[in-house]
Amino acid sequence: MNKYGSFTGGVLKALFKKPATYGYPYNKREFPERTRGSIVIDIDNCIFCGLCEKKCPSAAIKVDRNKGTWSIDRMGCVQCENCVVGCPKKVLSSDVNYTAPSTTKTVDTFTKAGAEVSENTGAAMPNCDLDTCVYCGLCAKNCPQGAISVDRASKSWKLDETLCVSCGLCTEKCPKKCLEMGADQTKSEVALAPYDVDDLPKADLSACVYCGLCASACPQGAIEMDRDSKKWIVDEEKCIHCGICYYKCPKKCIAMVDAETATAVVEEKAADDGASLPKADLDSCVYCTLCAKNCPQGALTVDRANKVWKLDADSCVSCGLCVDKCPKKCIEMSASSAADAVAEPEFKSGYDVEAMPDANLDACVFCGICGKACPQDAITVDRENKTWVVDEEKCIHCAICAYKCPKKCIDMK
Amino acid sequence: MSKRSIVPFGPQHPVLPEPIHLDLVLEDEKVVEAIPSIGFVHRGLEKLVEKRNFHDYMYVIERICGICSFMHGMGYAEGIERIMDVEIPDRAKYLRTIWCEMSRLHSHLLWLGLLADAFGFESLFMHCWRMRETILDMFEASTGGRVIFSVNKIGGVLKDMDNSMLRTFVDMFDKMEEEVRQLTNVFLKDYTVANRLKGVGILTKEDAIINGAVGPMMRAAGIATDTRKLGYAAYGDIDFDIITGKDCDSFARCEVRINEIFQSFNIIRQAVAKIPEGPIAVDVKGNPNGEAFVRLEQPRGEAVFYFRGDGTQFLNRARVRTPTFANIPSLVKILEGCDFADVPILVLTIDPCVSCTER
Amino acid sequence: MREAYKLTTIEFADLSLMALEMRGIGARLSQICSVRTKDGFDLLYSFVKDYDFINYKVSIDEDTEIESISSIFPNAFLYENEMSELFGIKIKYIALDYKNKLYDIAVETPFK
Repeated sequence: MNKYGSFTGGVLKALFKKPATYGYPYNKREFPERTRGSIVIDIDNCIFCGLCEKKCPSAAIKVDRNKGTWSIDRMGCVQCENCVVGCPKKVLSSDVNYTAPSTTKTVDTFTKAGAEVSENTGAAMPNCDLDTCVYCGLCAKNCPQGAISVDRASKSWKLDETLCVSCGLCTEKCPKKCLEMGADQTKSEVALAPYDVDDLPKADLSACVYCGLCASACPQGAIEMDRDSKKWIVDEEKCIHCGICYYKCPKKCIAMVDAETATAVVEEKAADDGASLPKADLDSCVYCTLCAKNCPQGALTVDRANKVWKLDADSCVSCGLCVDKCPKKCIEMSASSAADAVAEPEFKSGYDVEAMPDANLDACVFCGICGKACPQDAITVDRENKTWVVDEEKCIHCAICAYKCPKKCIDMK
Repeated sequence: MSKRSIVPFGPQHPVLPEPIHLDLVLEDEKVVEAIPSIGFVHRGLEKLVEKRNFHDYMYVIERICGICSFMHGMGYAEGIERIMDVEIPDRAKYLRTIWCEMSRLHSHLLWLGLLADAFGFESLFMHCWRMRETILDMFEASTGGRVIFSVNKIGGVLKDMDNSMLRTFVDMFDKMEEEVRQLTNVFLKDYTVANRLKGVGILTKEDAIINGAVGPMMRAAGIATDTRKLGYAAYGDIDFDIITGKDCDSFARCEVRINEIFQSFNIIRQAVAKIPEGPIAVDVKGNPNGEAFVRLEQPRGEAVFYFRGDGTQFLNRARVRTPTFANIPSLVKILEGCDFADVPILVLTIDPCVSCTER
Repeated sequence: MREAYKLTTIEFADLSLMALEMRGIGARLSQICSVRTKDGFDLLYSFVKDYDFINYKVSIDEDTEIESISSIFPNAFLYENEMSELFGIKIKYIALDYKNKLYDIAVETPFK
C-alpha cells in the first residue's frame, strides 16, 4: 500500500488548473438548448382551454378564460414540462433562462391583446348531428370548460358558445362520431335518431350465437349474457340506449326496439346442430393466426410452425368474426360437421405460402403504409433515403402489404 | 456494568444532508443499541396517486428523490407498461439504460464526496463533486434538467440523444475515467482512509440476508446479487460482471461502489455501441387495469415497485420500496457494538437517502 | 425482458408458517405493502431468494388482527409500523412498535 502522498499528484495538478467554478454573477453560464429554465407562452395563439392548469402537478398555472389571461406562479412551477407536452395548440415552450431569485413570490400574468373572448366569432365549434346522437353525455363530461349540456330526457344537446374554446376534445370522445367541428353555429332543431332514445336493445335469440361481444362492448355493463344457460338479459336501469351493442353484434341479431316490447322473454334457442362452422382453405392459408387472435371463444388454434389450423367445434359459436378478420379471405362459414372442420395440414408449394412481397420502386411513393400494416413489422420503409426492405426472416407471406398499398406497386413473387 | 447513557443523533447533524434521527444507547463509548426514527420529511407521494391522472403521476413519482429520480420514473413507466402490456421501442430501452448508468455514476461520486467529507478529507470531497458536476452538465444537455429529468413517459422516452451527442458523451467519459481513477486511488490506497474504514461496521453474510440488506451493502458482504441481471431495459444485451467485496466492512462497501463507477463507464460504452435506430416512444391508449411488481437496481440497491389499477385513469395504489428503507435494519445492526466516533461514518456507508425512505 | 414472478394467495392464519418456510430456504424479506380494497386490505409479502421473486397475497377485512413476522425477519418491523400507521392495520407483537409514531406527520392517520 502506498502509505503517503497518493493525493499529492492531484493536488499539484489542481494548482495549475483553471478553477472549476465561475465568477457568478459577473460571468453568466451558457445553458444548453434543452435546459428547462422557465415556461413561456405565445399568448396570441392561446385558446384558454385550461388543459395546462389541469395537468400542472404543482397547480402553478391559472387560466382565466373570461379575462383572457394566463398566469403562472414562477416559484411554484417545477419545470416538469407537462404543460408543454400536453398543450393542444403548442403555444407553451421552455426557455433556457431560469426565474431570477427574489424575496417575494412572483406571479407572471399574460393577457391576450384585444381578447374579445366572449364574442368568439368564426372559430370552429362542435356541431352535433342529432339524427345519430344518442345523448350519452360523454362530450359534456369531457369538455374542459363545461360548455356542453346534454339532457337525455328532453333529447337536447346544447353548446354554450361563450364557453367553448374549440379544443375539439368532444369530437374525439363521441362514441357515435356525430360531432363535427364546423364554423356553422346554427343550433339544430331536436330531431329523432333512427331509433327512439328510449329504445332498448333486444336480441333475436333464434339467431344469437352467445358470443358475448355485446356484453363486453356495453359501456354500462348492462348486458348480462351466459352462454351455457343461453341467457341474454338487458338491465333496463343501466342501459343508456347508446346502441353500441347493435353496432357490435356480428350476427346482426340485436335490434333497438320500444321499451314495452323489449321486455325480453328469454327464448330457448334451437339446438345448434347443423350450425355453420368456419372452414379454412388451407391452400391459400398463410397461418398468420389473426383468426385465432380474434375468436371471442378461443375456439381456433393455429400453429405456424407445423402448419396446423384447428377448430374446436364445441366452443365455436358461429359468430363469423374469423371470416371478417382473415387477410387472405380463405375462411368460409360452411354447414359442414365438426369432423370436417379439423382440416388436415395438407400443403401446396408455390406462390401463396412462400411468396415474398416485392415493390416496384419506380411507382413507390414510400408512404410507409405497408410497413405499418405488416403484422410482423417485417417491412422497413425509409422515405428520406428511398429504401424499401423486407426482412425475409420475419415475413409470413400474408400479403397484407400488397392489399394495403395505395399505389398497388407491391407484388407477391 | 458501566454506566449507560442515551445520546440523540440527528435529525440535524454535520454529516447528514437529510434528516434522520437515531437514539443511541451508549455504554461508555460503545453503542449497544440504536433506535431509528424517520418521518421528518414524509410527503405522502404514494397517496397522491389516487388524485392524479396516471400519465401525470410520472412527474410526482420522479420527485421522490433527487438522486435516483430517473430510476423512480423508469420503474413507474415499466410497471404501467407491464400492466397494460405495452412493448417499448428498443432505442427507448437503450436510452433508459444510458441514463440509468449516468445516474449511478453521479450518485456514487456524490457518495464518495460525502464519505470523504465525513472523515474530514475536505479537498477530496471537492474533487469528487467537481467530477460529478460534469455529469450533471451532460444530463442538462440531454434531458433539460440537472436533477429531475422528466424524460420518461409511459410507452418510451420523451427526448432522444442523437449519435453525435452520444459520441461526445463517450469521449467525455473516456477523459473522465482517467481522472476518476486517480481520485479513487486515494480512497483505495491512502492510509488515512483505510484507518477510518477498515474493520469498521462489519455486516456478515448471514446478517445481510436476515436484515434484508440490498445493493452495495449486500455485495460488499460477498453475496453476488444485482437486479440488473434480470435484464430489464437493455441490460439483457449488455455484458457485465457482478462486483462483490469480501471483507464485509465499510472499506469493502467503498471498494464495491468505486468499482461500480468503472463498470458504469463500461456499460455506457457498450450501450452506445449497440444502440439501434428507430422511434423512441409508442402511443399508449386506455387505462391500466391489473397489478404488477417491478424490480430495479438503483445506485443504493434493489427498489421494488408495485402498482395496481382498476381500469380508471387513477391508480388504486402505487408502492415504492426504496433501497434505503430496506437498509435501515442493517444500519441498526452494524451500529450495535461500534465506537461512538464511528457512528457518522457508518450512517453514511449505507448511502442513506432519507427523502426516498419516507416518500 | 420482463421478470416472471410468483404470486400465491394464502390465509392470514398461515402468515407465520409462510415466514418460517421462507426463512428456512434462506430467502430475504424484500418488502411488505398493503393495498386498500373495497372491504379490507390486501397485504403483499415479497421475498427474494437469489433471483427468484416470491410473493404472497393475504386478504383481510378491516378488523382482522394479524401477527407480526418481525420475530422471524427482524427487518419486518419498519414495514409493519408503516402499514399500521398509514393504513390502520392491526398488528400484534411487533418487535419495535412505534405506536403510530413512525412518520411524524401532523395530519391524523390512518388515511382513508
